Amino acid sequence: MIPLEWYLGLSAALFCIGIFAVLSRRNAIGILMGIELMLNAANINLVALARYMHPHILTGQVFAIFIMTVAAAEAAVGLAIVISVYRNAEHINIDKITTMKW
Amino acid sequence: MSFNPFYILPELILTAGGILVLLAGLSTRKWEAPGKIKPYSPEALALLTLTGALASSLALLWRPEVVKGVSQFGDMIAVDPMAVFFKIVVLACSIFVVFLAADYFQGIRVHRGEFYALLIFATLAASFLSAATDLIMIYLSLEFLSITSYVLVGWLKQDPRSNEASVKYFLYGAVAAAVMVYGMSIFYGLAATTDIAAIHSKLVSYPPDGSPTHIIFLGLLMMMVGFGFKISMAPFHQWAPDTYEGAPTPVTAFLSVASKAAGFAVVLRVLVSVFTPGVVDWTPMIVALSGLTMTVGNLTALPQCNIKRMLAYSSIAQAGYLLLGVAALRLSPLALPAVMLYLFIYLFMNMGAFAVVTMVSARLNSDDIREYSGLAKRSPASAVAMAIFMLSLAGIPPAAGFVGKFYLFAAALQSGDKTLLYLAILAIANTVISVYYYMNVVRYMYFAKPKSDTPLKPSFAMNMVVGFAAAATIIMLISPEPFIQMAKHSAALLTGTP
Repeated sequence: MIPLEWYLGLSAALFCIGIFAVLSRRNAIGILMGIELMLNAANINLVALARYMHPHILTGQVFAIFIMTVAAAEAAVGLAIVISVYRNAEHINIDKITTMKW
Repeated sequence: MSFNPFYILPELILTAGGILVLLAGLSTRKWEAPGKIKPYSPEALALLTLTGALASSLALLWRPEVVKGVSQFGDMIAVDPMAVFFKIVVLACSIFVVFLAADYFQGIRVHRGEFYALLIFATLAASFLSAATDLIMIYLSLEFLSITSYVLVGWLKQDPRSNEASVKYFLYGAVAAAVMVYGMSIFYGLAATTDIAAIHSKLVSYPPDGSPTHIIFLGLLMMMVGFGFKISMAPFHQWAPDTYEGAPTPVTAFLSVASKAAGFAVVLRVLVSVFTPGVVDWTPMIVALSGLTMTVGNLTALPQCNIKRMLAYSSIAQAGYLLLGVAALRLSPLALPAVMLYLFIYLFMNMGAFAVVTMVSARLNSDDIREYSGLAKRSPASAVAMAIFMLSLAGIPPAAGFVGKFYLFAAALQSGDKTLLYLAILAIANTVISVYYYMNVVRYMYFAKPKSDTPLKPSFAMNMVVGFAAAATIIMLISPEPFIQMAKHSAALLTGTP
Protein backbone atom coordinates (compact mmCIF):
# COMPACT_ATOMS: atom_id res chain seq x y z
CA MET A 1 0.00 0.00 0.00
CA ILE A 2 1.20 3.49 -0.80
CA PRO A 3 2.14 5.23 2.45
CA LEU A 4 0.01 8.11 3.69
CA GLU A 5 2.87 10.59 3.39
CA TRP A 6 2.77 10.30 -0.37
CA TYR A 7 -0.82 11.39 -0.45
CA LEU A 8 -0.16 14.28 1.91
CA GLY A 9 2.84 15.28 -0.21
CA LEU A 10 0.74 15.12 -3.37
CA SER A 11 -1.94 17.25 -1.77
CA ALA A 12 0.59 19.81 -0.51
CA ALA A 13 2.16 19.98 -4.00
CA LEU A 14 -1.26 20.39 -5.59
CA PHE A 15 -2.10 23.16 -3.13
CA CYS A 16 1.12 25.01 -3.99
CA ILE A 17 0.49 24.62 -7.73
CA GLY A 18 -2.99 26.02 -7.16
CA ILE A 19 -1.63 29.02 -5.24
CA PHE A 20 0.96 29.57 -7.96
CA ALA A 21 -1.77 29.53 -10.62
CA VAL A 22 -3.88 31.99 -8.62
CA LEU A 23 -0.98 34.38 -8.18
CA SER A 24 0.50 34.17 -11.67
CA ARG A 25 -2.53 33.89 -13.94
CA ARG A 26 -4.01 37.06 -15.42
CA ASN A 27 -7.07 35.40 -16.89
CA ALA A 28 -9.99 35.12 -14.47
CA ILE A 29 -10.78 31.59 -15.69
CA GLY A 30 -7.16 30.58 -15.07
CA ILE A 31 -7.44 31.83 -11.50
CA LEU A 32 -10.67 29.88 -11.09
CA MET A 33 -8.82 26.73 -12.19
CA GLY A 34 -6.12 27.41 -9.62
CA ILE A 35 -8.79 27.70 -6.93
CA GLU A 36 -10.23 24.34 -7.99
CA LEU A 37 -6.78 22.79 -7.58
CA MET A 38 -6.51 24.18 -4.05
CA LEU A 39 -9.92 22.77 -3.13
CA ASN A 40 -8.99 19.39 -4.58
CA ALA A 41 -5.80 19.42 -2.52
CA ALA A 42 -7.97 19.70 0.58
CA ASN A 43 -10.16 16.87 -0.75
CA ILE A 44 -7.17 14.54 -1.23
CA ASN A 45 -6.04 15.38 2.30
CA LEU A 46 -9.44 14.62 3.78
CA VAL A 47 -9.99 11.36 1.92
CA ALA A 48 -6.46 10.07 2.50
CA LEU A 49 -6.55 10.94 6.21
CA ALA A 50 -9.96 9.34 6.58
CA ARG A 51 -8.80 6.15 4.86
CA TYR A 52 -5.47 5.74 6.64
CA MET A 53 -5.99 7.12 10.10
CA HIS A 54 -9.68 6.62 10.82
CA PRO A 55 -11.03 4.01 8.37
CA HIS A 56 -14.27 3.54 10.32
CA ILE A 57 -15.22 7.20 10.46
CA LEU A 58 -16.67 8.56 7.24
CA THR A 59 -16.70 12.24 8.19
CA GLY A 60 -13.67 12.97 6.02
CA GLN A 61 -15.23 11.51 2.90
CA VAL A 62 -18.49 13.31 3.60
CA PHE A 63 -16.60 16.58 4.04
CA ALA A 64 -14.89 15.99 0.68
CA ILE A 65 -18.25 15.49 -1.02
CA PHE A 66 -19.52 18.72 0.52
CA ILE A 67 -16.44 20.57 -0.74
CA MET A 68 -16.97 19.24 -4.26
CA THR A 69 -20.62 20.29 -4.25
CA VAL A 70 -19.86 23.77 -2.95
CA ALA A 71 -16.99 24.11 -5.44
CA ALA A 72 -19.41 23.35 -8.28
CA ALA A 73 -21.87 25.98 -7.03
CA GLU A 74 -19.06 28.45 -6.59
CA ALA A 75 -17.72 27.81 -10.09
CA ALA A 76 -21.20 28.37 -11.53
CA VAL A 77 -21.56 31.73 -9.80
CA GLY A 78 -17.97 32.64 -10.61
CA LEU A 79 -18.39 31.93 -14.31
CA ALA A 80 -21.61 33.96 -14.36
CA ILE A 81 -19.75 36.89 -12.80
CA VAL A 82 -16.91 36.51 -15.31
CA ILE A 83 -19.44 36.52 -18.17
CA SER A 84 -21.05 39.72 -16.91
CA VAL A 85 -17.60 41.31 -16.71
CA TYR A 86 -16.88 40.15 -20.26
CA ARG A 87 -20.10 41.70 -21.56
CA ASN A 88 -19.08 45.13 -20.33
CA ALA A 89 -15.31 45.03 -20.67
CA GLU A 90 -14.93 42.55 -23.57
CA HIS A 91 -11.97 40.91 -21.86
CA ILE A 92 -11.37 39.04 -18.63
CA ASN A 93 -7.83 40.12 -17.91
CA ILE A 94 -7.95 41.02 -14.25
CA ASP A 95 -4.92 43.29 -14.57
CA LYS A 96 -6.98 45.58 -16.75
CA ILE A 97 -10.15 45.58 -14.63
CA THR A 98 -9.12 48.66 -12.69
CA THR A 99 -11.83 51.28 -12.84
CA MET A 100 -11.64 51.65 -9.08
CA LYS A 101 -8.40 52.76 -7.50
CA TRP A 102 -7.66 54.85 -4.52
CA MET B 1 -29.74 15.24 20.25
CA SER B 2 -33.49 15.54 19.94
CA PHE B 3 -34.72 17.71 17.12
CA ASN B 4 -36.96 20.59 18.10
CA PRO B 5 -38.15 22.91 15.31
CA PHE B 6 -38.61 25.71 17.83
CA TYR B 7 -34.84 26.07 18.22
CA ILE B 8 -34.32 26.68 14.52
CA LEU B 9 -37.53 28.64 14.00
CA PRO B 10 -35.68 31.79 12.83
CA GLU B 11 -33.91 29.77 10.14
CA LEU B 12 -37.12 27.99 9.12
CA ILE B 13 -38.92 31.33 8.78
CA LEU B 14 -36.06 32.71 6.69
CA THR B 15 -36.06 29.69 4.38
CA ALA B 16 -39.81 29.78 3.81
CA GLY B 17 -39.85 33.56 3.53
CA GLY B 18 -37.00 33.58 1.03
CA ILE B 19 -38.86 31.20 -1.27
CA LEU B 20 -42.08 33.23 -0.92
CA VAL B 21 -40.26 36.46 -1.75
CA LEU B 22 -38.77 34.78 -4.82
CA LEU B 23 -42.29 33.81 -5.96
CA ALA B 24 -43.69 37.25 -5.16
CA GLY B 25 -40.93 38.72 -7.28
CA LEU B 26 -42.36 36.97 -10.32
CA SER B 27 -45.46 39.15 -10.14
CA THR B 28 -43.57 42.45 -10.01
CA ARG B 29 -42.20 43.95 -13.16
CA LYS B 30 -38.63 45.03 -13.56
CA TRP B 31 -39.55 48.56 -14.63
CA GLU B 32 -42.14 49.05 -11.90
CA ALA B 33 -40.82 51.72 -9.56
CA PRO B 34 -41.03 50.45 -5.98
CA GLY B 35 -42.24 53.79 -4.65
CA LYS B 36 -44.21 53.10 -1.48
CA ILE B 37 -43.88 49.64 -0.03
CA LYS B 38 -47.11 47.86 -0.96
CA PRO B 39 -48.41 44.71 0.68
CA TYR B 40 -47.53 41.54 -1.29
CA SER B 41 -44.58 43.34 -2.83
CA PRO B 42 -41.20 41.63 -2.34
CA GLU B 43 -40.14 44.44 0.02
CA ALA B 44 -43.11 43.95 2.33
CA LEU B 45 -42.74 40.16 2.36
CA ALA B 46 -39.01 40.46 3.03
CA LEU B 47 -39.66 42.80 5.95
CA LEU B 48 -42.31 40.47 7.32
CA THR B 49 -39.98 37.47 7.06
CA LEU B 50 -37.04 39.21 8.70
CA THR B 51 -39.17 40.67 11.48
CA GLY B 52 -40.70 37.25 12.13
CA ALA B 53 -37.25 35.69 12.32
CA LEU B 54 -36.08 38.47 14.65
CA ALA B 55 -39.09 37.98 16.92
CA SER B 56 -38.56 34.23 17.08
CA SER B 57 -34.86 34.75 17.85
CA LEU B 58 -35.79 37.04 20.72
CA ALA B 59 -38.32 34.46 21.93
CA LEU B 60 -35.49 31.91 22.15
CA LEU B 61 -33.83 33.96 24.87
CA TRP B 62 -36.77 33.31 27.22
CA ARG B 63 -36.31 29.56 27.14
CA PRO B 64 -34.24 28.36 30.09
CA GLU B 65 -32.66 25.47 28.13
CA VAL B 66 -31.47 27.89 25.44
CA VAL B 67 -29.77 30.00 28.10
CA LYS B 68 -27.79 26.89 29.07
CA GLY B 69 -27.19 26.09 25.42
CA VAL B 70 -28.53 23.25 23.31
CA SER B 71 -27.25 21.82 20.06
CA GLN B 72 -29.17 20.72 17.02
CA PHE B 73 -28.57 18.46 14.01
CA GLY B 74 -26.13 16.22 15.85
CA ASP B 75 -23.97 19.02 17.29
CA MET B 76 -23.82 20.86 13.96
CA ILE B 77 -25.22 24.10 15.33
CA ALA B 78 -25.48 25.51 18.82
CA VAL B 79 -28.52 27.34 20.07
CA ASP B 80 -27.05 29.37 22.89
CA PRO B 81 -27.25 33.03 23.95
CA MET B 82 -24.18 33.93 21.91
CA ALA B 83 -25.57 32.46 18.69
CA VAL B 84 -28.90 34.15 19.35
CA PHE B 85 -27.16 37.46 20.03
CA PHE B 86 -25.34 37.36 16.68
CA LYS B 87 -28.56 36.26 14.94
CA ILE B 88 -30.27 39.34 16.33
CA VAL B 89 -27.47 41.59 15.03
CA VAL B 90 -27.59 39.98 11.58
CA LEU B 91 -31.38 40.10 11.32
CA ALA B 92 -31.59 43.70 12.52
CA CYS B 93 -28.96 44.60 9.92
CA SER B 94 -30.97 42.92 7.16
CA ILE B 95 -34.12 44.77 8.16
CA PHE B 96 -32.19 48.03 7.77
CA VAL B 97 -30.89 46.81 4.41
CA VAL B 98 -34.42 46.18 3.09
CA PHE B 99 -35.36 49.80 3.82
CA LEU B 100 -32.14 51.02 2.23
CA ALA B 101 -32.67 48.87 -0.85
CA ALA B 102 -36.28 50.05 -1.28
CA ASP B 103 -34.93 53.60 -1.46
CA TYR B 104 -31.85 52.75 -3.52
CA PHE B 105 -33.58 50.80 -6.28
CA GLN B 106 -36.01 53.58 -7.14
CA GLY B 107 -35.52 54.26 -10.81
CA ILE B 108 -33.11 51.35 -11.31
CA ARG B 109 -34.39 48.45 -13.39
CA VAL B 110 -33.54 45.33 -11.44
CA HIS B 111 -35.34 42.16 -10.46
CA ARG B 112 -36.37 43.13 -6.96
CA GLY B 113 -37.88 39.81 -5.95
CA GLU B 114 -34.65 37.94 -6.58
CA PHE B 115 -32.65 40.63 -4.81
CA TYR B 116 -34.65 40.38 -1.58
CA ALA B 117 -34.75 36.60 -1.80
CA LEU B 118 -30.95 36.48 -2.05
CA LEU B 119 -30.69 38.98 0.79
CA ILE B 120 -32.84 36.72 2.97
CA PHE B 121 -30.76 33.67 2.02
CA ALA B 122 -27.58 35.57 2.83
CA THR B 123 -29.11 36.40 6.21
CA LEU B 124 -29.95 32.73 6.68
CA ALA B 125 -26.33 31.83 5.92
CA ALA B 126 -25.05 34.43 8.37
CA SER B 127 -27.32 33.16 11.13
CA PHE B 128 -26.16 29.59 10.56
CA LEU B 129 -22.56 30.79 10.55
CA SER B 130 -23.02 32.47 13.92
CA ALA B 131 -24.30 29.20 15.37
CA ALA B 132 -22.03 26.68 13.62
CA THR B 133 -20.05 24.35 15.89
CA ASP B 134 -18.75 21.91 13.33
CA LEU B 135 -16.08 22.45 10.68
CA ILE B 136 -18.37 21.16 7.91
CA MET B 137 -21.13 23.50 9.04
CA ILE B 138 -18.71 26.43 9.34
CA TYR B 139 -17.42 25.78 5.82
CA LEU B 140 -20.88 25.31 4.34
CA SER B 141 -22.46 28.38 5.90
CA LEU B 142 -19.41 30.54 5.18
CA GLU B 143 -19.51 29.55 1.52
CA PHE B 144 -23.29 29.95 1.43
CA LEU B 145 -22.87 33.50 2.75
CA SER B 146 -20.02 34.19 0.32
CA ILE B 147 -21.76 32.87 -2.79
CA THR B 148 -24.97 34.82 -2.12
CA SER B 149 -22.88 37.92 -1.38
CA TYR B 150 -20.95 37.62 -4.68
CA VAL B 151 -24.23 37.75 -6.57
CA LEU B 152 -25.60 40.63 -4.49
CA VAL B 153 -22.42 42.65 -5.00
CA GLY B 154 -22.66 42.23 -8.79
CA TRP B 155 -26.36 43.00 -8.86
CA LEU B 156 -26.09 46.03 -11.17
CA LYS B 157 -25.13 43.96 -14.21
CA GLN B 158 -24.85 46.96 -16.54
CA ASP B 159 -22.50 48.84 -14.21
CA PRO B 160 -18.83 47.97 -14.85
CA ARG B 161 -17.94 48.98 -11.30
CA SER B 162 -20.44 46.54 -9.82
CA ASN B 163 -18.97 43.83 -12.09
CA GLU B 164 -15.48 44.64 -11.01
CA ALA B 165 -16.46 44.66 -7.33
CA SER B 166 -18.08 41.28 -7.77
CA VAL B 167 -15.18 39.63 -9.61
CA LYS B 168 -12.66 40.91 -7.06
CA TYR B 169 -14.81 39.77 -4.14
CA PHE B 170 -15.30 36.39 -5.77
CA LEU B 171 -11.62 35.73 -6.49
CA TYR B 172 -10.49 36.81 -3.02
CA GLY B 173 -13.30 34.91 -1.35
CA ALA B 174 -12.77 31.70 -3.23
CA VAL B 175 -9.03 31.66 -2.56
CA ALA B 176 -9.55 32.47 1.13
CA ALA B 177 -12.12 29.68 1.45
CA ALA B 178 -9.82 27.21 -0.30
CA VAL B 179 -6.98 28.01 2.12
CA MET B 180 -9.38 27.76 5.05
CA VAL B 181 -10.68 24.36 4.01
CA TYR B 182 -7.10 23.06 3.65
CA GLY B 183 -6.54 24.18 7.24
CA MET B 184 -9.70 22.35 8.26
CA SER B 185 -8.43 19.17 6.62
CA ILE B 186 -5.35 19.41 8.86
CA PHE B 187 -7.56 19.48 11.95
CA TYR B 188 -9.53 16.55 10.64
CA GLY B 189 -6.30 14.63 10.35
CA LEU B 190 -5.29 15.54 13.90
CA ALA B 191 -8.60 14.81 15.57
CA ALA B 192 -10.59 12.42 13.32
CA THR B 193 -13.66 14.57 13.83
CA THR B 194 -15.08 17.84 12.59
CA ASP B 195 -16.93 18.78 15.76
CA ILE B 196 -15.09 21.68 17.35
CA ALA B 197 -15.71 20.55 20.95
CA ALA B 198 -14.37 17.08 20.10
CA ILE B 199 -11.37 18.59 18.29
CA HIS B 200 -10.62 20.55 21.44
CA SER B 201 -10.73 17.50 23.68
CA LYS B 202 -8.48 15.61 21.25
CA LEU B 203 -5.97 18.46 21.00
CA VAL B 204 -5.65 18.85 24.78
CA SER B 205 -5.16 15.10 25.15
CA TYR B 206 -1.72 15.26 23.49
CA PRO B 207 1.13 15.14 26.03
CA PRO B 208 2.71 18.61 26.42
CA ASP B 209 6.06 17.58 24.90
CA GLY B 210 4.55 15.51 22.08
CA SER B 211 1.92 17.99 20.99
CA PRO B 212 2.16 18.83 17.27
CA THR B 213 2.13 22.57 18.06
CA HIS B 214 3.54 23.65 14.71
CA ILE B 215 0.95 21.74 12.72
CA ILE B 216 -1.84 23.08 14.93
CA PHE B 217 -0.58 26.60 14.48
CA LEU B 218 -0.32 26.16 10.69
CA GLY B 219 -3.89 24.88 10.58
CA LEU B 220 -5.10 27.76 12.73
CA LEU B 221 -3.34 30.28 10.49
CA MET B 222 -4.94 28.76 7.38
CA MET B 223 -8.38 28.87 8.96
CA MET B 224 -7.80 32.48 10.00
CA VAL B 225 -7.30 33.33 6.30
CA GLY B 226 -10.92 32.35 5.60
CA PHE B 227 -12.29 34.02 8.72
CA GLY B 228 -10.06 37.08 8.24
CA PHE B 229 -11.47 37.51 4.76
CA LYS B 230 -14.99 37.64 6.18
CA ILE B 231 -14.16 40.20 8.88
CA SER B 232 -11.91 42.18 6.45
CA MET B 233 -8.84 41.76 8.61
CA ALA B 234 -5.49 42.94 7.22
CA PRO B 235 -3.67 41.46 5.27
CA PHE B 236 -6.82 39.89 3.77
CA HIS B 237 -8.68 43.18 3.44
CA GLN B 238 -7.71 44.28 -0.09
CA TRP B 239 -11.07 43.26 -1.52
CA ALA B 240 -12.99 45.49 0.85
CA PRO B 241 -12.44 48.99 -0.61
CA ASP B 242 -13.17 47.99 -4.22
CA THR B 243 -16.10 45.77 -3.31
CA TYR B 244 -17.62 48.34 -0.97
CA GLU B 245 -17.28 51.06 -3.57
CA GLY B 246 -18.67 49.13 -6.52
CA ALA B 247 -21.46 47.21 -4.82
CA PRO B 248 -24.97 48.66 -4.54
CA THR B 249 -24.94 50.70 -1.31
CA PRO B 250 -27.45 48.51 0.60
CA VAL B 251 -25.28 45.48 -0.16
CA THR B 252 -22.22 47.37 1.08
CA ALA B 253 -24.09 48.02 4.31
CA PHE B 254 -24.93 44.32 4.60
CA LEU B 255 -21.30 43.28 4.04
CA SER B 256 -19.96 45.80 6.52
CA VAL B 257 -22.24 44.70 9.37
CA ALA B 258 -23.98 41.33 8.94
CA SER B 259 -21.18 39.55 7.14
CA LYS B 260 -18.59 40.95 9.55
CA ALA B 261 -20.66 40.11 12.64
CA ALA B 262 -21.11 36.51 11.49
CA GLY B 263 -17.38 36.32 10.80
CA PHE B 264 -16.61 37.55 14.31
CA ALA B 265 -19.06 35.02 15.75
CA VAL B 266 -17.17 32.15 14.17
CA VAL B 267 -13.75 33.60 15.10
CA LEU B 268 -14.85 33.94 18.73
CA ARG B 269 -16.35 30.47 18.85
CA VAL B 270 -13.37 28.74 17.27
CA LEU B 271 -10.71 30.62 19.22
CA VAL B 272 -12.44 30.28 22.57
CA SER B 273 -13.67 26.72 22.38
CA VAL B 274 -10.90 24.98 20.40
CA PHE B 275 -7.65 26.77 21.10
CA THR B 276 -7.59 26.91 24.88
CA PRO B 277 -4.32 27.71 26.69
CA GLY B 278 -3.09 24.10 26.64
CA VAL B 279 -3.32 23.84 22.85
CA VAL B 280 -1.67 26.83 21.24
CA ASP B 281 -1.17 30.46 22.24
CA TRP B 282 -2.79 32.67 19.63
CA THR B 283 -2.76 35.93 21.59
CA PRO B 284 0.45 37.33 19.99
CA MET B 285 -0.86 36.48 16.51
CA ILE B 286 -4.16 38.31 17.08
CA VAL B 287 -2.35 41.24 18.70
CA ALA B 288 -0.18 41.65 15.60
CA LEU B 289 -3.12 41.28 13.22
CA SER B 290 -5.21 43.72 15.23
CA GLY B 291 -2.49 46.38 15.24
CA LEU B 292 -1.90 45.91 11.51
CA THR B 293 -5.60 45.99 10.66
CA MET B 294 -6.43 49.18 12.54
CA THR B 295 -3.33 51.03 11.34
CA VAL B 296 -3.73 50.03 7.67
CA GLY B 297 -7.45 50.84 7.76
CA ASN B 298 -7.02 54.26 9.33
CA LEU B 299 -4.01 55.43 7.33
CA THR B 300 -5.54 54.50 3.98
CA ALA B 301 -8.90 56.03 4.95
CA LEU B 302 -7.27 59.46 5.31
CA PRO B 303 -6.94 60.48 1.63
CA GLN B 304 -10.24 58.96 0.38
CA CYS B 305 -12.76 61.18 -1.36
CA ASN B 306 -15.41 58.56 -2.10
CA ILE B 307 -17.56 58.11 0.99
CA LYS B 308 -18.21 54.40 0.44
CA ARG B 309 -14.49 53.80 0.05
CA MET B 310 -13.81 55.84 3.17
CA LEU B 311 -16.40 53.79 5.08
CA ALA B 312 -14.77 50.62 3.72
CA TYR B 313 -11.40 51.57 5.21
CA SER B 314 -13.18 52.72 8.34
CA SER B 315 -14.84 49.31 8.64
CA ILE B 316 -11.41 47.67 8.30
CA ALA B 317 -10.20 49.89 11.14
CA GLN B 318 -13.27 49.00 13.21
CA ALA B 319 -12.44 45.31 12.66
CA GLY B 320 -9.01 46.13 14.09
CA TYR B 321 -10.55 47.58 17.26
CA LEU B 322 -12.79 44.53 17.59
CA LEU B 323 -9.74 42.27 17.19
CA LEU B 324 -8.20 44.14 20.12
CA GLY B 325 -11.05 42.72 22.19
CA VAL B 326 -10.51 39.27 20.65
CA ALA B 327 -6.82 39.45 21.57
CA ALA B 328 -7.74 40.10 25.20
CA LEU B 329 -10.19 37.16 25.32
CA ARG B 330 -7.90 34.88 27.23
CA LEU B 331 -6.72 37.31 29.84
CA SER B 332 -9.76 39.42 30.58
CA PRO B 333 -13.32 38.33 31.37
CA LEU B 334 -14.46 41.73 30.12
CA ALA B 335 -13.24 41.11 26.57
CA LEU B 336 -16.04 38.98 25.13
CA PRO B 337 -18.89 41.23 26.38
CA ALA B 338 -16.91 44.23 25.13
CA VAL B 339 -16.61 42.76 21.62
CA MET B 340 -20.30 41.92 21.52
CA LEU B 341 -21.35 45.32 22.87
CA TYR B 342 -19.16 47.05 20.30
CA LEU B 343 -20.66 44.99 17.47
CA PHE B 344 -24.14 45.92 18.68
CA ILE B 345 -23.28 49.63 18.72
CA TYR B 346 -21.45 49.27 15.40
CA LEU B 347 -24.64 47.83 13.89
CA PHE B 348 -26.58 51.03 14.54
CA MET B 349 -23.89 53.59 13.81
CA ASN B 350 -22.70 51.97 10.60
CA MET B 351 -26.18 51.18 9.27
CA GLY B 352 -27.20 54.75 10.07
CA ALA B 353 -24.21 56.12 8.17
CA PHE B 354 -24.97 53.88 5.20
CA ALA B 355 -28.63 54.93 5.31
CA VAL B 356 -27.60 58.57 4.89
CA VAL B 357 -25.14 57.59 2.14
CA THR B 358 -27.89 55.66 0.33
CA MET B 359 -30.27 58.59 0.65
CA VAL B 360 -27.73 61.05 -0.75
CA SER B 361 -26.44 58.82 -3.54
CA ALA B 362 -29.98 57.93 -4.67
CA ARG B 363 -30.72 61.65 -5.03
CA LEU B 364 -27.43 63.10 -6.25
CA ASN B 365 -26.16 60.01 -8.06
CA SER B 366 -22.71 60.37 -6.56
CA ASP B 367 -20.71 59.03 -3.62
CA ASP B 368 -18.18 61.84 -3.61
CA ILE B 369 -17.61 63.34 -0.16
CA ARG B 370 -17.60 66.81 -1.77
CA GLU B 371 -21.24 66.26 -2.70
CA TYR B 372 -22.00 66.41 1.02
CA SER B 373 -21.12 70.08 1.15
CA GLY B 374 -24.02 72.06 2.47
CA LEU B 375 -26.00 69.00 3.49
CA ALA B 376 -26.74 70.85 6.71
CA LYS B 377 -28.86 73.26 4.68
CA ARG B 378 -30.18 70.84 2.08
CA SER B 379 -31.36 68.20 4.54
CA PRO B 380 -30.74 69.35 8.13
CA ALA B 381 -32.06 66.22 9.84
CA SER B 382 -29.85 63.87 7.79
CA ALA B 383 -26.84 66.09 8.44
CA VAL B 384 -27.38 66.01 12.21
CA ALA B 385 -27.82 62.23 12.12
CA MET B 386 -24.73 61.77 9.93
CA ALA B 387 -22.73 63.92 12.35
CA ILE B 388 -23.85 61.66 15.21
CA PHE B 389 -22.84 58.52 13.29
CA MET B 390 -19.45 59.99 12.38
CA LEU B 391 -18.81 61.01 16.00
CA SER B 392 -19.85 57.57 17.11
CA LEU B 393 -17.58 55.80 14.61
CA ALA B 394 -14.73 58.03 15.74
CA GLY B 395 -15.52 57.20 19.36
CA ILE B 396 -16.09 60.74 20.59
CA PRO B 397 -18.26 61.09 23.73
CA PRO B 398 -21.66 62.39 22.58
CA ALA B 399 -22.34 59.06 20.86
CA ALA B 400 -22.37 55.37 21.78
CA GLY B 401 -19.17 54.50 19.93
CA PHE B 402 -17.35 56.00 22.88
CA VAL B 403 -18.85 53.49 25.31
CA GLY B 404 -17.98 50.62 23.00
CA LYS B 405 -14.37 51.70 22.57
CA PHE B 406 -14.08 52.42 26.28
CA TYR B 407 -15.03 48.84 27.12
CA LEU B 408 -12.69 47.39 24.48
CA PHE B 409 -9.74 49.40 25.77
CA ALA B 410 -10.72 48.63 29.37
CA ALA B 411 -10.64 44.91 28.55
CA ALA B 412 -7.15 45.25 27.08
CA LEU B 413 -5.92 47.21 30.10
CA GLN B 414 -7.59 44.89 32.61
CA SER B 415 -5.68 41.92 31.22
CA GLY B 416 -2.48 43.45 32.61
CA ASP B 417 -0.50 42.12 29.67
CA LYS B 418 2.25 44.36 28.35
CA THR B 419 1.75 43.73 24.62
CA LEU B 420 -1.97 44.33 25.03
CA LEU B 421 -1.20 47.60 26.79
CA TYR B 422 0.95 48.70 23.83
CA LEU B 423 -1.82 47.59 21.47
CA ALA B 424 -4.35 49.69 23.41
CA ILE B 425 -2.02 52.71 23.14
CA LEU B 426 -1.76 52.08 19.39
CA ALA B 427 -5.55 51.85 19.21
CA ILE B 428 -5.90 55.20 21.01
CA ALA B 429 -3.42 56.78 18.59
CA ASN B 430 -5.43 55.30 15.72
CA THR B 431 -8.64 56.72 17.15
CA VAL B 432 -7.06 60.16 17.11
CA ILE B 433 -6.04 59.70 13.46
CA SER B 434 -9.53 58.53 12.55
CA VAL B 435 -11.10 61.71 13.89
CA TYR B 436 -9.62 63.53 10.90
CA TYR B 437 -11.43 61.64 8.18
CA TYR B 438 -14.71 61.26 10.07
CA MET B 439 -14.80 64.95 10.91
CA ASN B 440 -13.94 65.74 7.29
CA VAL B 441 -17.45 64.62 6.36
CA VAL B 442 -18.92 66.82 9.10
CA ARG B 443 -16.79 69.73 7.87
CA TYR B 444 -18.18 69.37 4.35
CA MET B 445 -21.74 69.08 5.61
CA TYR B 446 -21.61 72.16 7.82
CA PHE B 447 -18.90 74.48 6.57
CA ALA B 448 -18.39 73.91 2.84
CA LYS B 449 -20.24 75.91 0.25
CA PRO B 450 -22.91 73.82 -1.49
CA LYS B 451 -23.05 73.55 -5.28
CA SER B 452 -26.80 73.93 -5.20
CA ASP B 453 -29.37 74.83 -2.58
CA THR B 454 -32.17 72.51 -3.68
CA PRO B 455 -33.27 70.62 -0.58
CA LEU B 456 -32.93 66.84 -0.64
CA LYS B 457 -36.13 65.17 0.41
CA PRO B 458 -35.54 61.84 2.11
CA SER B 459 -38.60 59.60 2.04
CA PHE B 460 -40.57 59.05 5.23
CA ALA B 461 -39.21 55.50 5.57
CA MET B 462 -35.61 56.69 5.24
CA ASN B 463 -36.19 59.42 7.81
CA MET B 464 -37.56 56.80 10.20
CA VAL B 465 -34.59 54.48 9.63
CA VAL B 466 -32.00 57.21 10.07
CA GLY B 467 -33.85 58.60 13.08
CA PHE B 468 -34.09 55.19 14.70
CA ALA B 469 -30.38 54.46 14.20
CA ALA B 470 -29.46 57.90 15.57
CA ALA B 471 -31.76 57.47 18.57
CA ALA B 472 -30.28 54.03 19.29
CA THR B 473 -26.76 55.47 19.08
CA ILE B 474 -27.63 58.19 21.59
CA ILE B 475 -29.61 55.90 23.93
CA MET B 476 -26.76 53.43 24.18
CA LEU B 477 -24.51 56.25 25.34
CA ILE B 478 -26.93 57.57 27.96
CA SER B 479 -27.87 54.21 29.46
CA PRO B 480 -25.55 51.47 28.21
CA GLU B 481 -26.23 49.31 31.30
CA PRO B 482 -28.99 47.04 29.87
CA PHE B 483 -26.91 46.44 26.73
CA ILE B 484 -23.80 45.68 28.74
CA GLN B 485 -25.80 43.27 30.90
CA MET B 486 -27.19 41.60 27.78
CA ALA B 487 -23.71 41.20 26.28
CA LYS B 488 -22.29 39.87 29.57
CA HIS B 489 -25.15 37.45 29.88
CA SER B 490 -24.66 36.17 26.33
CA ALA B 491 -20.94 35.87 26.80
CA ALA B 492 -21.08 34.06 30.14
CA LEU B 493 -21.92 30.72 28.62
CA LEU B 494 -19.11 30.58 26.11
CA THR B 495 -16.41 31.52 28.61
CA GLY B 496 -17.97 29.18 31.17
CA THR B 497 -17.27 26.15 29.00
CA PRO B 498 -13.72 24.79 29.23
